[in-house]
Amino acid sequence: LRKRFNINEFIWFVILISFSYYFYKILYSGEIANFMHPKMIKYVYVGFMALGILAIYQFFNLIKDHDEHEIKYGYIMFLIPLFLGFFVSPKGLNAYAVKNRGISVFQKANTASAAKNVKNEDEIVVIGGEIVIDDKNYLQVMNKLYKEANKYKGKRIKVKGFVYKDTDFEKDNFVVARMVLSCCAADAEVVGFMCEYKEDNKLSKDEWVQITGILAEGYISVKKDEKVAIPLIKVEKITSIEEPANKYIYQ
Amino acid sequence: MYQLSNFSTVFLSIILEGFPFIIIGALVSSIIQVFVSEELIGKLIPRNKFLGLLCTAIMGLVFPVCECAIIPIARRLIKKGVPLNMAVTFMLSVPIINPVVLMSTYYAFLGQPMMVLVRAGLGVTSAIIIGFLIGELTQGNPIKDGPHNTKSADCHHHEQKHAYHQCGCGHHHHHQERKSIIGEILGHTSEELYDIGKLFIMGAGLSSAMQTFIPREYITSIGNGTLSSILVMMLLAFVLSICSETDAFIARTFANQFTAGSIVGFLIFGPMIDIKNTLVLAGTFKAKVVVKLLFLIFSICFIMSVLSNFIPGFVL
Repeated sequence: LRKRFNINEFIWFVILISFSYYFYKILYSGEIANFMHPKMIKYVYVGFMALGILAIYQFFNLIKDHDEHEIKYGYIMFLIPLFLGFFVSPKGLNAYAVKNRGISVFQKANTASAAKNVKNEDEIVVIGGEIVIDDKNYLQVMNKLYKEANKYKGKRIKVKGFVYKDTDFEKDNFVVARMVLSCCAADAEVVGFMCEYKEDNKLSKDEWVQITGILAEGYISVKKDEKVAIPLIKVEKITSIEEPANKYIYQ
Repeated sequence: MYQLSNFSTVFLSIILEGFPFIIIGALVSSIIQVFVSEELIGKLIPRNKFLGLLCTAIMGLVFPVCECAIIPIARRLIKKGVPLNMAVTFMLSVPIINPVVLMSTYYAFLGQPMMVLVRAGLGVTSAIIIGFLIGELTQGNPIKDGPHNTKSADCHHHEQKHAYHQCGCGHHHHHQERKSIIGEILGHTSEELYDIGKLFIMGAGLSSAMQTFIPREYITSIGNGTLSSILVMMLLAFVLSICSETDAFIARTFANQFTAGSIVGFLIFGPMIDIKNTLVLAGTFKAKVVVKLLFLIFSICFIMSVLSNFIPGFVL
């Protein structure tokens, strides 16, 4: 058999090199944070290098016995994610994803109860009557507030998140929500605090805000005729903010 | 547009997460292909069937691979002469009892450490039962014929000409080129990545489409009774296709809505089978075997989940 340029081997080479480049690109640009928990990033590096090695190996296969004529259809499957990755270039999950993922917060209070490395005894830090909450202790504080909504009544809280409204909500209510990732975006869960704000019609969906308000006790109905106490933030002040670089909470 | 972005995010994140592990699985499979002979495997397999099944079932403890990587390895083992029952038990139990999965289950259910034992125990038991039954119910070669050996007469002709299929792995080789061992391993890995990858991507696409376009409420609205909740959670595990290393964190968020048994269903059924694995299995095993296997996995996991409701002291 004569050695000739093999189109199948060439397509496979292009796929491998493009995947390797895509992995490199999102690692290098930091976009990986939109897809993954930081603890998983090392595996993406492994993937990048393995794909690179396979691509180099494949380069030497380009000239091969030409005994296959049909182009393999399976290559299309590899081209779809590459196309989406390079041309749609998604920037992570937005508020439109909430509806279909379900917002687990409302279902019952202690959603985040067993969040990794969080001990239930951990106390919330309150400085000058204001509860301190940031990305690092978000789940821990949230858990505490949901468990003992009553105890922290009247305390001030300042929290960031995106606005989420649902048709089931009371008129003046919205949720200041965050997405929690435990591994990758496929397992993102939505958490957040119910807020009450008289002029909430000014807020748009998916808008990132920082709210300041006073904690009160609210209720949501879990099932018919069954209500559960949840913390409710009576909003005093809302400021629009830029979407943060790290928009997820990692657990 | 927003939904396209959400779809792509989930889709790509499954691929970014899964590909490294698929490549690792393909690599292990290729190393087995090159270095482990059929004779060696024949010697290593215990004579006693149940001892054999038990050994393979607990191998996950020292074989930390999750479900993305396990199918190419299981397929390779079958081709190397490992009996179907043991290979299936291996394939189903490793993603449940590997150390990383057990750790994440422990952390996800800090308040209920028994969950780790229940998940591992019932997972291993189910894997043994399913492996045993599929072995009894299947005769002949369970592996699908590759595209290259369907035309057997033709292929035989080729075989003599090229020394083709010498290794019996079903891939297209060019042994006359005399590759180095590393070249051979890389070649196998690359082909395995193509075989598994195309089905994995298809599965990831379906799963992300469902996550993006079907409200989860539709699934959860099936019910939260003792039996219906198990069905709901198994269906969710199937649709979501999340890695067994993190599924416990997702299961936890349902812990308050559903029964303990249904959470167990999610945790043992999910690692064994989901959309992407089904497609990969369908590309690997003959259709009859896949149908039997799906049926067995579903029914055994369902029964185990129902039983777990009766374990004393096991409540969430």
